[in-house]
Amino acid sequence: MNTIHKLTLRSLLMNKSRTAMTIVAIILSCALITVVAGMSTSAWQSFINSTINSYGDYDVYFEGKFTDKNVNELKINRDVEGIYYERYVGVAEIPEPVSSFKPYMLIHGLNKGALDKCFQAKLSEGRLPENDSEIVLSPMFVRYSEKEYHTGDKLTLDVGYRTISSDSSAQSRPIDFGSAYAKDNEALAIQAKREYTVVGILSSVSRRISLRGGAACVDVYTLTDSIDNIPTYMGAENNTVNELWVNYTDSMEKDFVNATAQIVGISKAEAQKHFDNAYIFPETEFDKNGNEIVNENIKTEYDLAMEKIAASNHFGITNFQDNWNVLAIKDIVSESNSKEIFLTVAAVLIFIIMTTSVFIIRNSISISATEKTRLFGMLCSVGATPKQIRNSVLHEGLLLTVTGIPLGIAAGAGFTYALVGISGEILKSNLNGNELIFSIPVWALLASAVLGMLTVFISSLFVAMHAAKISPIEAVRMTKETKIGKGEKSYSVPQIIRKLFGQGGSIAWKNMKRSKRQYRTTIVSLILSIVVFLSVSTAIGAATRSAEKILLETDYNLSISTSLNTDWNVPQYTQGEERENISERDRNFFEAISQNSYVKTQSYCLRNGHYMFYIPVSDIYKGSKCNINDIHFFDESEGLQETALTIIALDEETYKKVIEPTGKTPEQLKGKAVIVNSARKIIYNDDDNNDYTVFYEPFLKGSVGLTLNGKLSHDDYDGDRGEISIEIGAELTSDDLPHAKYFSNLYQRSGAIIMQVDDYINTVENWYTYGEMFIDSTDSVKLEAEIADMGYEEFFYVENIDSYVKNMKAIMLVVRIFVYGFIFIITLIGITNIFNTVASNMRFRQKELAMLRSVGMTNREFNGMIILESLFCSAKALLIGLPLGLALGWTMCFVVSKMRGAQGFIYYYPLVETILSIITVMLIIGSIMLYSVSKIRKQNIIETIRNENI
Amino acid sequence: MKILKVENLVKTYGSGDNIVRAVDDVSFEVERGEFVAIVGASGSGKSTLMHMIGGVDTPTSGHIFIDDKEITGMKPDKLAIFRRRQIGIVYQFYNLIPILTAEENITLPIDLDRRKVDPARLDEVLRTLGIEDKRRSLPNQLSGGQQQRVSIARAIITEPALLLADEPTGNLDSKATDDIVSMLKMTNKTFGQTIVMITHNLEIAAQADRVLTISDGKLKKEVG
Repeated sequence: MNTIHKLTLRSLLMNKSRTAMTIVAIILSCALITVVAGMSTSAWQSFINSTINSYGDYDVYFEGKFTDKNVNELKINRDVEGIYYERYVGVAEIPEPVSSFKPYMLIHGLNKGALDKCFQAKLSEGRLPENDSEIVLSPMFVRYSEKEYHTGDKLTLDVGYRTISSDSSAQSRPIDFGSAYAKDNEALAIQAKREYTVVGILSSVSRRISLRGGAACVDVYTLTDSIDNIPTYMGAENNTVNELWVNYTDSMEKDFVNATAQIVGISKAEAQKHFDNAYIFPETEFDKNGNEIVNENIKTEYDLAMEKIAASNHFGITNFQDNWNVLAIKDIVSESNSKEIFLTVAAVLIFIIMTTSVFIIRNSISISATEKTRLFGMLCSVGATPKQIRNSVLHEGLLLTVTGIPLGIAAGAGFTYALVGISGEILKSNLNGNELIFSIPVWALLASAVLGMLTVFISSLFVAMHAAKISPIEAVRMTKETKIGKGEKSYSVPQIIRKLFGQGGSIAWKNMKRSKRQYRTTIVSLILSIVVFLSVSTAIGAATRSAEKILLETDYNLSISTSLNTDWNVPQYTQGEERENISERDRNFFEAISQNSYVKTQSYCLRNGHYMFYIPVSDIYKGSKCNINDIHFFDESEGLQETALTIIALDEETYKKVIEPTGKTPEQLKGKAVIVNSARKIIYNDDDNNDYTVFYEPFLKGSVGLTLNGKLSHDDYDGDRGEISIEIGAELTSDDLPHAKYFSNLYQRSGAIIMQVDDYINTVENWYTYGEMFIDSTDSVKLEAEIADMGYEEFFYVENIDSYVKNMKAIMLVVRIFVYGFIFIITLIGITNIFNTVASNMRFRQKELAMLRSVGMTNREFNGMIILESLFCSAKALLIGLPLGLALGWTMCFVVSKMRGAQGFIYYYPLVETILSIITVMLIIGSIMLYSVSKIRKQNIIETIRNENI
Repeated sequence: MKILKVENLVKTYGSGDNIVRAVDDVSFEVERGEFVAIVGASGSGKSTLMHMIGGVDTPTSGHIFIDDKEITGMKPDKLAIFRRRQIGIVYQFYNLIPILTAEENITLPIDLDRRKVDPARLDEVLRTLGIEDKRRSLPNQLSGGQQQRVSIARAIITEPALLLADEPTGNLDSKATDDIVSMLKMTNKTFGQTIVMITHNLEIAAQADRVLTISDGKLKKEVG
């Protein structure tokens, strides 16, 4: 090692605290870069994995009729790596079912590799089946079986297919295994008795084959090696399956369009068109009754393409689709912009880290160089060249890098691992069985190392070039650093400072005013930390509170919505006179739920928005003919204005509350309706439609006593138009309606016709009814479980707001951990800088401070002066940093609030964070100054003065 | 009247076989208004002696009385207050506070005492030392000689019992040296200031009323 490098190393070792602080800054910077890179790659990998888990790991899905022969031929295709299918084995009863609506298990047979490779099955216990006598149970089975099963347990099952008979006929017929359970009308036609051994229990499987069982069955899986001998079922042909999932080889995956085209026997362009569904479809035409006109003689482009696909291959393929979500995430199809978002956010964060770090590390190295200027001067005097001086500084940077970077990367990898673990735990319920994966590829670590080295190199270079040119005497004396401004004020100290703080305060004041450059770095570092902390805290705080406000404003924690049941195979729901009355079904369902012990308060409605009413034009309120939102005015003919109005029935209690402003009782309004005579108008104030004003005006001149005639906007199930006449017994306006979520039943508070439930059931066509119920429950989870057994799944959907809020809070918590962790580390890096600057400043002023003591300043006065200096320094940083930080925070909130969909975003003043900033800044500066000064105070006055003189 | 009394003053460094007696049992007295020079070779202990008298270094043993008050054994804060009121020190390298103007450096001991500066006294000191037009200059705007004059002004502004000058001309050229020595003499004559000056320069020492010689930590002889 040459002499200059030896001196550099020795200087680093002699100034342990400064060297340690600089290395800490490098470690933190590098760690932070590594964490950002690591979390980005981990999050991205997790995202890829969860997408694959969800959608399955295959490239293309074929539809058709496939035999064993087809499968074997496709298997040997050189572009195909794996080919998977799933076939029906049979339906059996769950030995001890939990739900009376879900009594069956559907046994699926999958070929080797299908469960684990293609459908990403994950096990919570045991292993996958290796033959067709072994079975794995799905999570739904576990949930809907009273008895607990474990690996090794045996299941002896009567396997067959579901049949149904109607009340009026003794003859039964098969129904789809996915149909809703028809209870007493159903029976299982047994085809075989089978004994299975439970070899495993799944924790998750791709949604592609989960919930295949439908409303009445849970899924269990076995291994099958052949498509032959599929049991008779619902008219399906023997020996074929209808679906194949194909994985191409790695090289062909990128050209999956070509590989598919070759298999199907069409051109690549045709295959691409089919994948993109880029066909031109003719416009739909309607007859005068509003029914769609279907011309079966005309073949569309799509029809012709489908015919060609079927005719071009001998594998039985009639259709195909790509696994778009997974191919997109792997960047093979490129319409997803998720990756761009990830990369942009990561790049921005890394830029912030690097900029801050260059600033801070440069400062540390600069302090070191300044303190060594005397040494440089001596070296120059014995013949060292400017280049050698420059290299000395760069060498110092290199030594710091070699120490700091590996530690920084290791620390960053460690932090990432911990953060992934913590986030995974917090977000467990959000992840639906997926995991957050820790993944830092080598290239990310190398990139972090390179960026870290670049940061230190840039920092050192600035200082090195300056050090080579510096005049030693000027630099040592820092003579140019002290200046007095012009004017009388520059010489005076404000009276209040003198009075409050005495001579110590005066000296501190003068120091601040006349040696600005000494404190510039400290103050800038503090301002940076304050601004980042305040602005980001404001944004995060506003986001959290806005979200909570929206959620807490809800006066319910469970909502249920119902819809038309589409199970055409179950006669009591769909056919003829046996057809279930949907309105009654929903009313009975909601009334039954309202009796549940977990229900505190509830409100429900039944709605039908399919009616058009024909109102005499003379009854329409003038000026409300056009631009009305929610009241749709259509054609006028024969003096009648056609308009769409929603009919709503409310439960008894809610109905009473709503009609109160009319002054009438439910008895008085029996057989009549109450109309909300308000049409909602929206005026947009800007081009982006983000800023708008809403107001209401009546659309009828007077409604009480009016009879509204209407009919369905299309034929109903029986081919009728369902004409109705409704007499209006009372009128409300939008102002009469409260804002609680319960009352959102009333469809944006405009244009609704409100009825009592019985009147609704007797008047309104029941087929197109939709129901909604809002419940404030004492235990939303338990209530949700009990509701599951009160009706078959097909017709209702439960939303658990508590779970949603819990998930939202979990996400916000993770966001907070990341954001505040980031701010904390940036601040810590800033603190190392402040420590170095302040400590160096104190060291530099040793002689001056010793002189003050020699002239007669007591220790108490000395401490007071130092405390005041730190107070002034903090105050300056806060006076600039606080307004800047608050302004930036407000701006961020303002920008977000103007974005589409973010109108609920509200600014909250960050009082706690402001106070925290003030206290932290003062503590940091004060403690660092006092620490440095305590070391100086222990020194002998005259030794200090002597040592500082050349 | 004895303004300074030093009795059996000892300062040692190190311990055991490595012990060094920088000041070895020194005793002497100085009358009010006297100008005393202490000479000795480099390492003789003269500076150590002076710094103990000034209260900026602590003796190993012995006693020091200034204006009949014993400063040895005084608590640091009390000593600091005593120092700013009763002792003025002029150093070889001026040691002005870089962020204070000449005037502020001069009035520093009075300001620390929270007393008001007598403007007439200040003007007189500035005028006497020939730095009236430099009162608002920062140290980095003054020459070496000017800085030393400021240092002297600071040392005498409070009319201390004792002015200690440690090699006050060591960092100056010959002309500035003459100036400073003249300043000190004039201060002594005009204000009756008691001065104890350290120097290794016998010519400068000869300008004092009395010369004490110190060698190897011991006082050798008096001249004058």
